[in-house]
Amino acid sequence: MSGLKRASGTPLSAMLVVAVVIIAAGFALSSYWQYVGAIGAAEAIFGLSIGVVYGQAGMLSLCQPAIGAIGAWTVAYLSGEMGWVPLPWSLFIGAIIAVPIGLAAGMPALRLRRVNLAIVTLGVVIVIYTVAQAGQVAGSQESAYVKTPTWNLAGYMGLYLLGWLSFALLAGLTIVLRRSRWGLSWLAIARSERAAAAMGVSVTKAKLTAFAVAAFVAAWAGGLLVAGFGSADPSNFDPVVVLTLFALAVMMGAGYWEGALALGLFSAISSALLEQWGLTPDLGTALFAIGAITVLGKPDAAFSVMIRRQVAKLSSRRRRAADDEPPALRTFSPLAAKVPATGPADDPGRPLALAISNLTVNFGAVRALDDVSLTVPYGEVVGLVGPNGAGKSTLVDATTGFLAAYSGTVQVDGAQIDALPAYKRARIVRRTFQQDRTIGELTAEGYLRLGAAPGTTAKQIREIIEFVGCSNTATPLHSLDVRLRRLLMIGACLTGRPKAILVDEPAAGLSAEESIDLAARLVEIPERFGCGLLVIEHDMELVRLLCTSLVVLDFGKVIASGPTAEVLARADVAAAYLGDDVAAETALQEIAVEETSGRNAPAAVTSSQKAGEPHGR
Amino acid sequence: MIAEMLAGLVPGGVYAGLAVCIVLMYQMLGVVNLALGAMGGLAACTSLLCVQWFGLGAGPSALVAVLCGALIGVILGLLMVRYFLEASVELRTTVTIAVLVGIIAVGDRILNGATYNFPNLFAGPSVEIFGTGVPIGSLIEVVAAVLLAIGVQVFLRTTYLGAQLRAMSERPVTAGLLAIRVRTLTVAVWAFAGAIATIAVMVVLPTSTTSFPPLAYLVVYALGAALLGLLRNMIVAAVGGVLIGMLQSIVQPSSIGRYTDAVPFVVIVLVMVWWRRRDVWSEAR
Amino acid sequence: MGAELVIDAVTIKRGELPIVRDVSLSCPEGQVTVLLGSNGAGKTTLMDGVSGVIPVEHGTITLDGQQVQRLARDRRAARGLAYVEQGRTVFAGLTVQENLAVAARGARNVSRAYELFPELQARKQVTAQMLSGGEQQMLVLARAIVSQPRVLLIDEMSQGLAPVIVKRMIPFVETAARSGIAVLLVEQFAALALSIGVHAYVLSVGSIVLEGSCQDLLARPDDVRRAYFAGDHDAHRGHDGASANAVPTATTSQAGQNGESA
Repeated sequence: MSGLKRASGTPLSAMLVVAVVIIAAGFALSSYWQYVGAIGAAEAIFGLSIGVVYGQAGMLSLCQPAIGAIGAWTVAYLSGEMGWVPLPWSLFIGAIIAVPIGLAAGMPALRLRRVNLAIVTLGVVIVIYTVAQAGQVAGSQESAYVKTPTWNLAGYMGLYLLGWLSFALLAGLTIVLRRSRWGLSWLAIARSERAAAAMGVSVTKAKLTAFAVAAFVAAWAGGLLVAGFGSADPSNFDPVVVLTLFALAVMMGAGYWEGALALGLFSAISSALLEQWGLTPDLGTALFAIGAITVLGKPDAAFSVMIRRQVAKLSSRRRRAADDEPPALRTFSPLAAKVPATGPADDPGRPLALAISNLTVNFGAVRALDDVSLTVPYGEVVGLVGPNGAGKSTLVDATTGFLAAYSGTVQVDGAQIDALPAYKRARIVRRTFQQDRTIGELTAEGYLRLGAAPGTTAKQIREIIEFVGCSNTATPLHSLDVRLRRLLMIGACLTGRPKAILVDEPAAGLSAEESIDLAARLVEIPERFGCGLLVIEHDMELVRLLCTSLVVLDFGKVIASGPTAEVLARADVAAAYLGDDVAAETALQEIAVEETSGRNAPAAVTSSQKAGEPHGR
Repeated sequence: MIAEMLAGLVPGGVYAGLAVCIVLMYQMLGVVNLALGAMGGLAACTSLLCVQWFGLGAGPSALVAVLCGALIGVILGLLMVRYFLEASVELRTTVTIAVLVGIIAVGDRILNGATYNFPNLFAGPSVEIFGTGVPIGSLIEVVAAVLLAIGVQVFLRTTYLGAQLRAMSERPVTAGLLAIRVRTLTVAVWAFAGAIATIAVMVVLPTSTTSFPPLAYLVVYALGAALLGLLRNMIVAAVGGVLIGMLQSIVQPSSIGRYTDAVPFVVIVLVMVWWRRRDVWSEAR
Repeated sequence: MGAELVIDAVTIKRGELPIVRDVSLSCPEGQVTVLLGSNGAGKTTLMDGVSGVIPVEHGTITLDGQQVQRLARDRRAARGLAYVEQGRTVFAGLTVQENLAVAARGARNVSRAYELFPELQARKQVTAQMLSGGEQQMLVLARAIVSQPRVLLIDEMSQGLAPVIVKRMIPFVETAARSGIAVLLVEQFAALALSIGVHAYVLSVGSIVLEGSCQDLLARPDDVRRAYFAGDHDAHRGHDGASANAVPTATTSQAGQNGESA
């Protein structure tokens, strides 16, 4: 086994090795076990299908295996009833026909919350079963009989071979897709649809491609079952069977090919064994249910995840320790901080990366942003500061397309982008999030490639990874520390080659040295990548180092903007943070006056009301 | 046509009762309990066993079954509270899917394909409506279902416990900070739903087949009804359940009778399409 | 009636990042203790950890001599720890009366709340959603007090409210402290909190950078301001020569260019 592990450098080669072993083993099996193995292959393929939609794309769709019925009916019709098309080809045709049906089943996913999708797809499962039982659709009748292929091999070897070759083909397909943009986008939308759109991923397209691929794969499996059973037996698409496959997929972690394989083997072998031992198959089902609940409570317990961990542990001993060392923290050279010759942002001649004009956002009766205007010229770092609830994140949301309605305009590189949806805006303006919205399953390289502008080379991606301070391109992000993930989030913005980047509180929780390191990297971005940078921060020392100009927001309004040092020295800025000293003092005096004289002091009330405006209801 | 509609009152009342529980659990606990029918079915099976093995009468067996239903609810509630208290709605719902699979396996074992005869709790005199004899039992059942919906709403609105439940459903964290016993209340709601589901399934038991799964799939009909109330309004859900029952009853003997089970799905899709027509994308993520 | 709250060497993480680092402070009973700091300093994280909303990584939280950091939040609440969260977390669908009733341990306590805030009495049957911002803040404060707490944590009660409305709540905090409750008042707005507190701490980037009596800090606003804006760069001065050089150089050079004005 260890020899095999050495040979398995990549998932694809590992899978092929395993497939060859399984096929070779088939020759040594009895006819009964060859049959079991063939059914196992079909179930493993169902596992691949669930793995794409649920395991990778994170959509709670229960009906994938039921769509296998489409494949079953096609094969039964074309190869059985009509006898037009020989078996392997009818599998392919059935899979193709299922794609539009899979897309139709996926339509609800575009607009529904995940829970509602589960309800709809459960309904689909019942409907397909109903239709299967009614026996009215072409190919679904028992009379549509298909002869099991033998290919001149003894026993059920022909079926076994067909089954496992199919698995190798389809598993290979899902492995390749997982590394492609499609697969990266699936993992992204599973993690966070907002973050995916912020990287330029069309969430709609990602969902639809997942459903299309899953339908193709599932229908192939459905057709295989017909090849095995001879006809499109409706009991294959019994809701219990479909749901049990789903539970198994959860338990085995079918998002990875090993999980799907394990699903198929477990399911088929346990059924066969229970039968042999005279026990009820319900026992297996009950155990799978418990297994699924366990994995749901503890996702690391999924079979495929555990296997991957083991493999990673074994191969990590061979990796050089130096690979894991992050580069040393950089120090900040004051000379690198650019102080522009003329006043920043006021000069009409400067080309502007980002120009926000008269932005107003209302959440019901609350005015979150009130006539906010700011500009970010090319080659500069502009800071956006303000106390809690001032509207900074709202501004970023509005600019990057995450708010349904706002008034005012946003221009990037001179072009108005207000009509564009978020994922389209991501082509020219990018943002990071305060929370960790990186995609743990991806490596640094994959994560950056997901949002990369077309034509970005692998070399450029590696350079950006190094630039943000990460040396590790091959480890999945969930194993990297949070600081590196933050830096990579910024890196993912850079690969998109946007004109403007909005960075939201990048230094939150970092130590002093780490903040300096961050500043040293951020300050180079505008010049090196030809864009403008807007940084939201609370760490004033960082802001002083990094930003040439500053915009201060309070209660949704811009209360100050201009060169950094000037703005920070202003009393009203300090007051916005520390509290309205004047008003508070006046208010306290009022209390004293009231207590001593028992009278209202209307003049004092007026001045305190002027100093701080009512906000909210 | 009228006769079929009135015959649909019996399943309709069942769907109504289950739908009320679905809405209650979604609103109070943040879970779509797809295993509701299965819970009720499993507990109802114990009543069969009581009659068969212990020779108990119909009444006592039914009582034992309801207690079993509550007990199953308690067990599942404890599971949810222990491991899935801070989980998302989707994760909890996925757990109920796994539970559904497990219970079906167990229930199948219990019934084991044999034929059981369960005394009809709703036998009795009939009433003439529009020229058809309608058993009084089925009328009582429908009224009971609607009263259940109203009763739960009233309970939530007027009692101290109801206020605590509503507070918990809105802000579970804040409720905990106010020493509201979130875990206890969660388990209590599960137990209540289990008991109601058991009663609902027992109504259907004499007329259904002796395999377990159809009992579990009753929940799909209930889901259609619950969605009519947009997973918010229990009274609409109850009325919707009755209507779906009547619709099913009309469709069954007709030429498309084989597709009766697809009826709730059509309702589900129509409601979904109409309900979400304005959403751009799921903001929550 | 009250109890002392002692926070000792507490570290709290969100995800893997330590947001609160090794913080120690104490809130004696019968007084208002103030915790200041700008955004991102970790004030809310600290409160969330103390109240049980998020787990505490290291350190102890002691309520009246008993450690509570392992207890679930409803248990801590049952022991007399009340937490008024940031953002006015009223139960929007419940009326004022219901909001208070679910927190109270008896009807008598509810009437006490109405004594403190007569405005709420007038709006007794109104759904909390319909209240103004100021009324909602009063409601959450009243809700905290009806549970007869021994320790009261208040997180930024002034946020988003006009000073004249905030002024309305000061007597409430003072009354609570006078009745023996240990009050921990977290505020961004220093002057307000310092005027009613006894002892104060300033939190910055997760650590306490300044502490002293409130009288003292009121007389030293520049120190407070600097503590807010300094981050732990000041704390690290002297440990790392390179970063220490960067900070003062930038500050003084820019100050020199523009002519520092108060």
